[in-house]
Amino acid sequence: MSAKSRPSRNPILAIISNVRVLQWVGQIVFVIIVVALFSLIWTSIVTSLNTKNLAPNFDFLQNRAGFDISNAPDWYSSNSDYWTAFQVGVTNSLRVIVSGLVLTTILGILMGIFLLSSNWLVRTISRVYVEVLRNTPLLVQLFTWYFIVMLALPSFQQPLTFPSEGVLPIPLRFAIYLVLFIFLRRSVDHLVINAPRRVFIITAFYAAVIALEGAFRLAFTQPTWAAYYGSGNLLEFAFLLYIVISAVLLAAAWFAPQELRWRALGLAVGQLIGGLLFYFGIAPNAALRVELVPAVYISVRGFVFPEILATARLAEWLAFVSVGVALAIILWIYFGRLIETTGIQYQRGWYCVLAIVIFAALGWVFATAQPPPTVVPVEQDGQIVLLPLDEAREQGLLTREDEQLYSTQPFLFVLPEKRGLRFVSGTEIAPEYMALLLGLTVYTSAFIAEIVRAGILAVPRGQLEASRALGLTTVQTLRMIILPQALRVIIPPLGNQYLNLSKNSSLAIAIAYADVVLVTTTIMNQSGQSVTGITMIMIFYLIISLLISVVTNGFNRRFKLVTR
Amino acid sequence: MTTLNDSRNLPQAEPVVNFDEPPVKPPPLLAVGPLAWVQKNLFSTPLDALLTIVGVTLVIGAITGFLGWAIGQANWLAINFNLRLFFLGRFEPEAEWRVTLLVLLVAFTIGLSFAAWARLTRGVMLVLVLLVALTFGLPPLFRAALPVPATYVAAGEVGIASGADTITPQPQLAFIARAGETVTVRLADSFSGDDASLSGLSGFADDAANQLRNAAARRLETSARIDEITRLLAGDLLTSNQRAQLEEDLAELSVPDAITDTYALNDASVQVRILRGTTGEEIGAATLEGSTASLSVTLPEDGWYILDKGVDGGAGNALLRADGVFPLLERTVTRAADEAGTGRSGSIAQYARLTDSFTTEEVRPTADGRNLPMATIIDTQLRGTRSFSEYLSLFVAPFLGQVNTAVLALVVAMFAGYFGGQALDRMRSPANAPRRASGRLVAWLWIVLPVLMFVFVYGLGSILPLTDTRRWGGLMLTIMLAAVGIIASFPLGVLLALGRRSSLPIVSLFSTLYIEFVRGVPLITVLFMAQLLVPLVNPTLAELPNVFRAMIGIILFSAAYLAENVRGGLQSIPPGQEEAARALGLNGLQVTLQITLPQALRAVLPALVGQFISLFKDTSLVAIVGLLDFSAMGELIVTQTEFLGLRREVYIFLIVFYFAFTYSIASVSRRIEASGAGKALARKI
Repeated sequence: MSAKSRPSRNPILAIISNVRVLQWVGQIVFVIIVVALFSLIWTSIVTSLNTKNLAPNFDFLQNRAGFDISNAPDWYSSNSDYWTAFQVGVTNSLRVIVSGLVLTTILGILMGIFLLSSNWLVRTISRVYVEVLRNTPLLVQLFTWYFIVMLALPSFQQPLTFPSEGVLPIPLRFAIYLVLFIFLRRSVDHLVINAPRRVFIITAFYAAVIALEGAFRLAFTQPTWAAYYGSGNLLEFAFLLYIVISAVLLAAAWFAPQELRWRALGLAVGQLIGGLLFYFGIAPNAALRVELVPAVYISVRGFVFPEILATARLAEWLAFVSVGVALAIILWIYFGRLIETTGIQYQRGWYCVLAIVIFAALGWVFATAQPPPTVVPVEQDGQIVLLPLDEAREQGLLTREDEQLYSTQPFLFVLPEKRGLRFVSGTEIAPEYMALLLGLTVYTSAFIAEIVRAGILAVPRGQLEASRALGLTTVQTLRMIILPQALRVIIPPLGNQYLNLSKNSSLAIAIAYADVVLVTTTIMNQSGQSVTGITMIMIFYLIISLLISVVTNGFNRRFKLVTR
Repeated sequence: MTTLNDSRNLPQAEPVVNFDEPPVKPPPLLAVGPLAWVQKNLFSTPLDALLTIVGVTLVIGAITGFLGWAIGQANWLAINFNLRLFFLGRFEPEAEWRVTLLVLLVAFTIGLSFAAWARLTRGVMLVLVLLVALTFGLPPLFRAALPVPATYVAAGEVGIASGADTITPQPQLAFIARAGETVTVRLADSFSGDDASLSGLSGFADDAANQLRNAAARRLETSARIDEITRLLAGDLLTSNQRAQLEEDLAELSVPDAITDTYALNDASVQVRILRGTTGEEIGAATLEGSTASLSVTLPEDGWYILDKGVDGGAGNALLRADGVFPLLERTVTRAADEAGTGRSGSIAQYARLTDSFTTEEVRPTADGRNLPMATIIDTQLRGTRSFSEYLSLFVAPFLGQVNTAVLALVVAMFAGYFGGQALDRMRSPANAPRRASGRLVAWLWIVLPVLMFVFVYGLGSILPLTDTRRWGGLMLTIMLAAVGIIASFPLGVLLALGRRSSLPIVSLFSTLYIEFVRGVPLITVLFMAQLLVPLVNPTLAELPNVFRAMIGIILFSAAYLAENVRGGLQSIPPGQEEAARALGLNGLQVTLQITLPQALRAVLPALVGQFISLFKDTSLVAIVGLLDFSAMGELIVTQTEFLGLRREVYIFLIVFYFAFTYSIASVSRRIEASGAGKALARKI
């Protein structure tokens, strides 16, 4: 319209008043300003660094590091170069980030479910957990984990062990009660329909168990199982007491009203049976003696866990397992087609698990069936001799590598063993790592719990009711109705929390865990290459962030609502 | 009659049709009342019951364990005595009035906010008044009614051995006291009997007295351990390895003699004198023998005193109970020459009593040119398990005594704001908008406050002298960093958000790059960058104090997150708004400034509160670049020799304080939001 009213317009004016031209000119000006600003800052930084002979470059990475890193892998020593030190930092950071992500997801989902529990106490406790953790700084929590929890652990000489070393007597009678109980419940429910008789059997069972246990408690306050036959008078007294109680119960059953009669009768007979079994020692008083060896040591110097070592035969076993996995995938697809075409709900998950388990067992049998070498070369008194395997093992001449080579099992499960002031086997985890891992996991789990709770609450209640009305089971409802819809809400913020955890791992510096930030700041202090160092840290975290974003976006696309 | 229960006896194919009325069931016994609630909420299924039992056990265990420790064993002196350090850091005392004024203004504004956006119920007011009354009423009450822990000192010349080290009691002990206080010294005869009572000694105890206690406890522990090993060896629940280890242990253990046999405790008579510290003049003296004798002296003036004690003939040791002698803390203060008072200037040693912050600057007494040993917190530590009344008199009463004036001032300022706001509304607000006057005022105050805070704390040219930024610290610094971070990053954040949504590709690309870059790296790297690179940019920036560099880092970091929040707000505005504005002939700038941005900011206010909270927590990271914020202050305090090993207490204080602060901000903002007043607030802005 305006063009019509003013046809004779200056062309130059028309060009400069054109919105698109103006926008482009503006953007070019913007770029020029930004570039000028940045180059100004950059040149002044470089000039002032040049005057100190510290021009940023990457050449210094080849220089000798000269500092030690606690709990560093074998390939690092203080003679390595800076670049290797940086790699140690990266490895340590990745170790914490990866295990932290897994653990925090599990803990967070658990706490999220607890937040929705119908149990008031569970709900309240988890609410307090979430609020306290969300509202205090992670740094303070890390300090607490490290200085207050980790450094208050017992000394290396007297560590906490799990399970604690010793002999555990397991009374066999408990196992027998359990078996009897299951058997009775099943057979009574299936076979005996007559209600009074059912009541009688169950009541008698309970009475017998109570009588037996009561007698044991009464007669033997000493926990040592060997003394079961010791105290004669008490034994007879207990037995007499039971006879009297049984008689009273029998009399009561006689006079009792109809509905209570069978119950009382059951009690009386149960008492009597229990007492007899006890008195004549028929009740199994033997115990299984289990010798417990510690598998986990916890002390102020760190945590030690059992080690799993691969042996020479692992490959054979893994080959079988991979065949099983391949078969499982085929089964999954095949039954998936069948389910789609016929509508019959095959339990394809179970078939797949079964396939893998069968092949794993087969592989195990195959791998262990081959005989070990009869004689092995070992070093004895400075020279190599050939000895039978058993003899060499008995004499303690086999090194760990030899064991790995000659073992018949696909892998070895090695318990930690303490000799003097160090562990000769087992995986050691430093307290700094544990404090950081626990701190990050617990802190992030509070946020994830809230996200999970919100996600599940976001599924309309009608969905649950409708799926119930359709006859789906609880598991089916959860798997096919609730989870897919909740995940849609959960995944984007969950990805954010994963990003936060990976970035928060940089707080390791506060408790002196040698992560990428700590190692790089040490490098920066030594070499003076602050600009390069900070750039390297930033690039590391940007790559991690990018990776996590890509993965969560992929999942997000997978669960996105498909609309037309 | 056919009932459903019999249906299983019928042939399957035949349908069962029930024409009868359904049987009338009696109402459930438990439908209402506390028992029904318990059944429904705690024991509805077996799993529920199990969880409840486990939960109750855990909660009871945790609470009793914590309270037992907090009352019986924890030493909260590190908190009581460092409150100023926690809240203000080492801020100049001359400028402290500014912070006080500022805090009162904040309390006033909070009161005014309640007047404008919410209501204080009578219950809340009553609780506040009660709180003030309690903080004023309880300390004198506790002090009058409850005893403070006793102080035990050892006398004699015989070395007391426990384990590897031997300690000989000091002949003299210096302490400070007020005029009119009474010091009573007598033999602690209740401990001379046996080891069990000696090992249970609790209160302030000097190293020698504590050594007696340790020796007794050690003896009891050893004999208990021998009994336990014998019992274990008699049973057969041991592996051969364990058995060998225990037999080895048993061979090494031997029970030492009872303390009373070893040291001839409280056998001989004890000479006790109390001397004036400055002059050495004797104020009281007595020879203590038997349980009745005691030396009780009323002190004439404030200052140093010396407790001199010795056992007659040097035979054996004595354990004395000296009431009125409490541990001290030594500090150095700087006094200007012309200041009134003692007339001394320069660096002066100041001594403060830990139990009630009584302070003296009198010169510490010396003997043979050396300082006399004094009852410091290191020498005369709080030891053993304490009773609840001692906990109240030693920790709670002094704590309340320190904070009561502050609590009173805060509550009064808050009430002034609240009632002032209501009065203002009655006078100035139009009838159709009954809270407009106070609402406007409070909105302005909240905008002005952060600026005022910066000006007050830092100073303003010649009007308010500049303060030393290196002495900023504690909670003040934490709040300052968070508030400055969120306010100063606001313009940058809004610009970045608009830039990211802009249709201009280069601007949008640049904004996106900035936002994603900053959000992809940890705050700590941004702080490092600000610390290391800012000084290199320009020689004038090189002299920028550490605090301001950290502030620059926080602002740059916070802007990226703020931009994402604002972008969320911008996206939530229906496109019809912009189209309508365009149709009315507004240009792009007008549309943004007058239509979209105001609506977007209104929508993101809750998110901004959330960001303030997370920034408040995140500022604790400045500790890593060497600033002494609230949490770093805790770490600083536990590295002082006086408070070594009190980390637990300090961290519990930090956690409780952080939690109370952030949780109350979050819940108040939630409440304001839910009450609809949040919208009103946004409309005013």
